[in-house]
Amino acid sequence: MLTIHELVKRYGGFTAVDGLNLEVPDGSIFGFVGPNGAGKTTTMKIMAGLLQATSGEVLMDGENLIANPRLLHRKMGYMPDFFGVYDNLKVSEYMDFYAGTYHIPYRDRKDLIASLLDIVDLSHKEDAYVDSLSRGMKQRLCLARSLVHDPAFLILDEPASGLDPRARVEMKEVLKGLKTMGKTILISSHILPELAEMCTEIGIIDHGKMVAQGSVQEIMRNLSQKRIIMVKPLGQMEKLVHLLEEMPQVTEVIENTADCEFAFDGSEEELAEVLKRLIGQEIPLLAFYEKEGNLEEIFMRVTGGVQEL
Amino acid sequence: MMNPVLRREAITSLRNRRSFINLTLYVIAIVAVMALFIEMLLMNSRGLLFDPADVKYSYIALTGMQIAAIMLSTPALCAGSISGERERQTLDLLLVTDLTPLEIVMGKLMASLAMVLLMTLTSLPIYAICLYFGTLSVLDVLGMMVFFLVSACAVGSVSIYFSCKIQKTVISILCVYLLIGLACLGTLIWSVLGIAALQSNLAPNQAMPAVEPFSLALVANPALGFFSLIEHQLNMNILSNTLSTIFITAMGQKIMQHQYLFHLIFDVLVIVLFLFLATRAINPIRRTEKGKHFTEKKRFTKKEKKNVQQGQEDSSAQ
Repeated sequence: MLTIHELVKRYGGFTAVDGLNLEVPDGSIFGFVGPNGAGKTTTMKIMAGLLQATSGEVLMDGENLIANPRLLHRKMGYMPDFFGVYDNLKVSEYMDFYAGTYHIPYRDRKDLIASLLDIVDLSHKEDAYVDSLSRGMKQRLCLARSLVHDPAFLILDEPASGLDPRARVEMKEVLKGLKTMGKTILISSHILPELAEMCTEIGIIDHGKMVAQGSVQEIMRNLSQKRIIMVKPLGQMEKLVHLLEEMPQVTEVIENTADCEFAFDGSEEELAEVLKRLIGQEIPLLAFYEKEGNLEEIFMRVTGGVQEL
Repeated sequence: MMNPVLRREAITSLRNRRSFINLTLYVIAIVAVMALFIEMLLMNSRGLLFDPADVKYSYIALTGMQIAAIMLSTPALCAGSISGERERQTLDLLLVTDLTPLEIVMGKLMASLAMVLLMTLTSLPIYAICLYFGTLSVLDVLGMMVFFLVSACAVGSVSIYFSCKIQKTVISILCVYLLIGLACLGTLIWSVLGIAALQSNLAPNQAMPAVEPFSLALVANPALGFFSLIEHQLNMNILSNTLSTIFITAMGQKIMQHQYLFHLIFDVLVIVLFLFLATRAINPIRRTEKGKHFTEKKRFTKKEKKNVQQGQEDSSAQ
């Protein structure tokens, strides 16, 4: 479990991270979401040991990593949002160089590099020059580089930025593979629907503070002003709409051709009561389910609606 | 295990065709200078009275050219080492690894100096001509090589420090050239003017003080260090007679006798100091109080520092 406790980062009078608290369970993919300038990259750089925190703790298994940069470097794998590569260096040499920076013995490197390139699907590019790779391949290579010392925790800052849809899918597959390997991943992104699909938990940061944290469903349930319920009857549409309109928790009903949806402002028990009543009135139902909320809409509302998405 | 930074730089620079072209041009240039000097000596003697001892002038020209090449090329090779990583956006990737800042700085310095070492080694066969005519001993040549390498290390350390502190490579290089200019000319001008002022302020019967700060500045002068070593090796006077009449204090006389030795000691101190400063400059987080907190590398104004301290006090009070 990684815990960030009351993390503060000030640049003179400006507070970039303001008492941030965060918990990332082991083996999870944690989506770190926030508008530009919210403090995501600053937090990630502190976690990677590239910035010094004004105050606060980054704890892993009870150990404050900020007080022990050497341990921090060994536990964390970091992939920045922007990075460059060296000219005149082949993929295998690039990996060998970073293996050397973690003092991995020469004899172990060949197998290690082969397995890492296999994970990110770059085995066929082993002898290619790094600067000749596509953007997506460079991103995957950088991910392989961040895994070279077998870190327990991965910090990925916007790993999908600038990638085409195909490269994004490939990156997503690699990340899913890493999750099955037991890695804990903290990932920041602006592409919310992708995060929602991939992450076990998300945290929304704004003005350096965590404004919401939990599973995607929890966050949507807690932050949605109203829930949208879809009902698909087998006939008797008019009766269904009439019944729904009579219910006090139903604020709005929209009738479609084959189904209808209604806005519901009540508890789980009250929703179950609605279903029970419809069945009790002998309306034949084919489907009754809660419509996926719009995460982007929630994000905009929570963070003040001033950010790019 | 070989420093990984040095290893990578060696791979990439050996693949770079420009390195070979530069080295070839350098060797051609020094061979041409040596050939020209020997030809001039033969012409002057008209083939009748050729004095092999005169080959020492070609040694002076050759070593002078080499020290100038080292002073000019080392900043160009070293001053972009860290700022180049920053410009290429690879520095953060290095700083998150297990390498210590000292390992990174040393790797960069060694990689840059490897080229200087190569330049020095490739010129060694040309010195064989001087050895053939009996002008010099092998120890003299080796002594000069040590002087070259220590000088290159000193200039390289200063260059790497500037590379850590200054964002732009070009500005780092210019700063180092400016510093070399100050060390060669600035120290000499300052010392001469200082001694002259000291003399003019003396009472009629007052003796010069034994210790004064002006002669001490000469220790930092690499050009004087070079000429001092040449004079020592060839047992001749190039500058020392003139300078001895200017730097008449006991300290000045002592420095003039063994300037190259004092300069080498000065270079070693410069290497230690600037490597230490570069290591501090490259470190994104610096420990000030063991296990408790760190100070920010970024320079704050007094007002900003006060704000940060105030904030830390507030949070600790909470």
